[in-house]
Amino acid sequence: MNLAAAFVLLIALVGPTDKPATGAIAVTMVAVEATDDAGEANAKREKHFSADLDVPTCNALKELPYTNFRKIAAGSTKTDFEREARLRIDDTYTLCVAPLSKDEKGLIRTKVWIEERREDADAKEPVRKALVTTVKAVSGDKMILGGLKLKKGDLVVALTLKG
Amino acid sequence: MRECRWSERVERWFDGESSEPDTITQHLSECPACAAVVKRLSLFRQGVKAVAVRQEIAPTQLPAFVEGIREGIERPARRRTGLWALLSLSAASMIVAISLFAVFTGGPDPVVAQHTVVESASTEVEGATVKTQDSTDKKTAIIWVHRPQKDVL
Repeated sequence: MNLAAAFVLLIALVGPTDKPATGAIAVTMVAVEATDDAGEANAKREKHFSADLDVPTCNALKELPYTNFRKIAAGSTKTDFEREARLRIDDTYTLCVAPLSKDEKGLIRTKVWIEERREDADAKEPVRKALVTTVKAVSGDKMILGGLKLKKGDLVVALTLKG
Repeated sequence: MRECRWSERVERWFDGESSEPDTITQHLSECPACAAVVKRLSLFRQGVKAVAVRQEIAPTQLPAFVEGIREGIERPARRRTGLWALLSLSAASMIVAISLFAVFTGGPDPVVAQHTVVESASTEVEGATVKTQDSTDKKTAIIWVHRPQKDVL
């Protein structure tokens, strides 16, 4: 009987270590309008960040080839694996996040896309996926999604997943 | 009370070693000091008897007594059973399991700097392409849509 108990214990300890992907994933987003006014007045290409942008976001944005960064939206939510979270950026864009799984190293495999609502009459679909990506994200690290057109500049989204 | 000069003779009488028991008996009836000595000695003897009870083994008990000693010498040490055995087995199992885990998984992963990995990226914007790169410090993945008219990276 002792041997049987030892065998069960052994199997339990050396068995598969993959854990089911459960648990909430925190999604945090900061959306920025990035513009470039480099010229005679800003020959050194100094970066200007709006006062409401936090330092980590500024650090993540500072490598981008723009001179002005203005926060246009921010939001956070929690979601779970195989569940979609949506964060509205403006009337045109919505950030969508769908965590898929978490690997043994803690990386969060996630599908991320930015939906664009189209108002032009000749558009075949009213909504299109302006950017779709699948990433293995480090929990707590930022990723930058951008390049989409805004009225005055380009859209830049700083996204963080935690879980 | 002062000690009587007969006290030593009284003590010998008390121990049954007196050669003049009648004389001592007569003296005890007349001397309160010696009577007190006898009383004290009697109490002492009773106390000693109560504490030190001499154990004696009767000849008929001797074989059983010797057999008990022999059993105590020759009986093997008591085996650890029950809870102790289970605990020992569990500890051994844990060691084996951890060893196997370390062997088959290569041990704990070395601490390496992780960074976000982009598996795929695309866009439905006509004529646009998507490029990915890491920031200089490799901590931030950048996923960028390059529109037809303007490339920023």
